[in-house]
Amino acid sequence: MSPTLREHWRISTFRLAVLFGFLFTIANVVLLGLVYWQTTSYLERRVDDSIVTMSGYFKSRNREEAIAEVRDALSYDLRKSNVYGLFTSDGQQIAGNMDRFPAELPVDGKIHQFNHRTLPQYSPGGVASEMPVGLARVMVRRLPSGEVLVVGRDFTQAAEIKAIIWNALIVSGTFIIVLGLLGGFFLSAGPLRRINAVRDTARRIVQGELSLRLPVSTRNDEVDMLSSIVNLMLEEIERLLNEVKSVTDNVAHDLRTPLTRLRLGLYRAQQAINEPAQRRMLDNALTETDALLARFRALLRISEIENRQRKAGFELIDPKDVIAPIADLFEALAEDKSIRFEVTCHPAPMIQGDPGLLFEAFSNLVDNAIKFTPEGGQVSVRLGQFEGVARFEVIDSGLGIGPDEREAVLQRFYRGGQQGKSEGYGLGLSIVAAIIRLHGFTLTFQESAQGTHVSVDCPSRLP
Amino acid sequence: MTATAQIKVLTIEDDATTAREIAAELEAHGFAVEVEGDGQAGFDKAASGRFDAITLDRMLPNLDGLSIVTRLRAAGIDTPVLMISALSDVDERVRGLRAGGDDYLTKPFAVDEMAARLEVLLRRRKAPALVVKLQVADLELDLLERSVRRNGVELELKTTEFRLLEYMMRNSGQTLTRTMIFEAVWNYHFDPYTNLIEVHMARLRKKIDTPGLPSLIHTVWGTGYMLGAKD
Repeated sequence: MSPTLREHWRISTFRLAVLFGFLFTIANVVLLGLVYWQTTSYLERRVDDSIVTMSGYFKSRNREEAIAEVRDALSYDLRKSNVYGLFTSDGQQIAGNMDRFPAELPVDGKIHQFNHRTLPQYSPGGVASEMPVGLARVMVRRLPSGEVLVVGRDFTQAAEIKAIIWNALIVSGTFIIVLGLLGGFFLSAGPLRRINAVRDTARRIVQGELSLRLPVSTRNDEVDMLSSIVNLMLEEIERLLNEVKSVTDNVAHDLRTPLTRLRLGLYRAQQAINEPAQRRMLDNALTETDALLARFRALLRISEIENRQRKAGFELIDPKDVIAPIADLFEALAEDKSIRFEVTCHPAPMIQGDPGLLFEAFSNLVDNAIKFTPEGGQVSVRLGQFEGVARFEVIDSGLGIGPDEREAVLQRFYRGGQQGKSEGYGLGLSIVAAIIRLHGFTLTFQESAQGTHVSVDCPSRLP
Repeated sequence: MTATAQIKVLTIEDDATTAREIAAELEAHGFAVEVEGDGQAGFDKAASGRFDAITLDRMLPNLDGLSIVTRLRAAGIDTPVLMISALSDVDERVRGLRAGGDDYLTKPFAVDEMAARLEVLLRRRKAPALVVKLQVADLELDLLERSVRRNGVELELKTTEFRLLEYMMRNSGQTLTRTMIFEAVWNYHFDPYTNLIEVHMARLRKKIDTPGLPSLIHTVWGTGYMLGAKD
C-alpha cells in the first residue's frame, strides 16, 4: 500500500520540513525587503544630492542665462540621465527635455518622485509616445525671474531594482517551498515506511501470530525506542497467554484420565447390576457423564480451534460443496419437526477455508435454527454473494435473539434465555465463533421482523 | 461370542486404571486381552504378530504410540490398530491414521464405543475385498443396482439412507455408535451435538421395518444402533 499525502502529513518530519519552508520564505521576504529598502534609499540620497547640486547653478539667473544653462547642462549630460525643463509661468516650454509641464507637482523647491515619459537614454527614437514610462525624481522651483524650472534625474533604476527583487523573491520563495515539500516528503517516507511495517506487524499480532515482534532497526531512534517498549509488552503478554494456555491444557489433560476412569467405572457397574432400580440410577448417571464428556470435548475443541495455526489445512473451496451436504443432513431433522426447510444456492465466489471446520460451523448454525424454531415453522439456508463476497445465511421463524443478547450468544456457555427445554450444550455457537474467527469471516445477526437471521460473510482473502 | 479360537487383543496403555477397564470391557466381549504399560515392551509384543488387534495409547513411556505403529507397519505387520489418544487435535488424528493406525479415539472415551470400534476393525479385516450384494435376514442390498429389497419388496431409499443402510449392513450384528455412524456415513469428525443421527435412523427404520415384519434395526441403549435379526 503506497502512503497517501494525508499519511505523510501525519509524520512530524514532513510537517517540520513544511514549517521550515514557510519560515525560510518569510525570512527571505524580510531579507530581500531590507535589501530593496536600503538600496533605494541609498540611490535616492545620491540622486537627491545631484539634483540639489544641479539646481544650485540656477540660483539668481535670469531667463536667458537659465536657457543657456539648461542647454549647456543637457549638452554635457552624455548619459542623458538628467531632466531639465524651463517653463513660462503659464506652463509653456522654453527649454529643456521635458515634453510637458508637470502640473501635478507642487512648485515648492522640494524633491518629488513622478512618472514621466522622457527616458532619452533608453529610447533612442526620441518620439514621446514611444517612450516607455519611466521614473524620475525632480525639483520644481520658481526662478526669481518668474519662470518655472524643473531639475531632476532619472530614477527608473529604483523600479528596476524593485522588479529584480520581486523576481528574486518569487523564484527563491517557490524554490524554498518546493524544496521544503520535497524534502519533507522524502524525509517522511522513511519513518512512514517503518510505521507501516509496525502497523502490518501489529495487525498480524492481533490476528493471533503472537510470536511476532515489531521491527527494530540499528539506529535506535525514537521509533525504535517505542517499538522496543511495545515488544517488551508483547513478550510479557505472550508469556502470560502461554501460561494461561498451559494451565488450561494441564487442567484439561489432568481431567481426561479421571473422566475416562469415571465413565469406565460407571459403565462397568451398570453392566454388572441387574436390579432394575439401581440400574436405572446408573443409567442416569451414565447419561449425565456422557453429557459432561460431550461438554468437555466441546471445550477442548474450542481451544483446539483457537490454538490452531492459521491457514493450516486451508484450501480453495466452492461454498456450494459445503452447503450441499448440509441440505442432505438436516432435511430429515427439519421434516421430523414439520419445519419447512429450503436451501437456495446462488453463484458465489470461491472461499479459502477448511472444509471440515466450515461444515461444522454452518451445520451448527442450521442445527440451532431448527432447534429454536417451533413446529410448523420455516428455516431457510441461503448461499449467495453480497458486495462480491460469498455470504451464507440462515433465516428461521423461531423465537429470535434480542439485540442485547446477540453478543452474549457467541460467548461460551451461553444458551438463549427462554429455550430451557431444548437440548444442546450451549457451546455450539462458541465453536462457530471460533471457526469464523479462524477464517477471518464475519458473523452478523441481521435485523428481522421475526425469528433469527444470521449471515456469515466469507471474504476469500484473510484481512 | 463362543470359545472358537478366542480373539487376542493387545492393549498398550500406561494408565493402570484405564488399562484395567479396557481389558474388562474387551473380555466382556469375549476377547483374550493382554496389557502392556511400556512402549518398548508393547512394541516387542505387537511385533510378534500373535495378536488379532491392538489398542494403542498415543503417549507411552520409552516409545510413543506413533512410533510403535510406524515401526509395526514398516515391519510388515498389519494387525488392526485402534489408537487412543489424549491429543484431540484434528491434525493429531490425521497423523495417527497416516502413520498406519486404523482408527482413532480421543480420551475421555466410552469403553463401549472403544469395543464397538475394535469389533468393526476386526470385521473389516475378515470381510471379503469386493462385495456386490449384502444380505441380512430377508433384507437385501445390491451395490451395483443400488437397490434394496425387504422380503422381496423393493424399497425406495434416498442416497443418504442408502449409504447409512450399506454401512449398517456391512457391520451387521455389530453395535455402532452415533459418532461412528456420523464419521463413516458423512465423513465428518466432530460431535453431532443433536439428535441428527436419531432422526436419520428413525427415517430409515420406518422404511426398513415395515409393520408385520420383525424389526432389523435395534437401539442399543445409551450406546448406538445395531442391524441384525434378533436372536
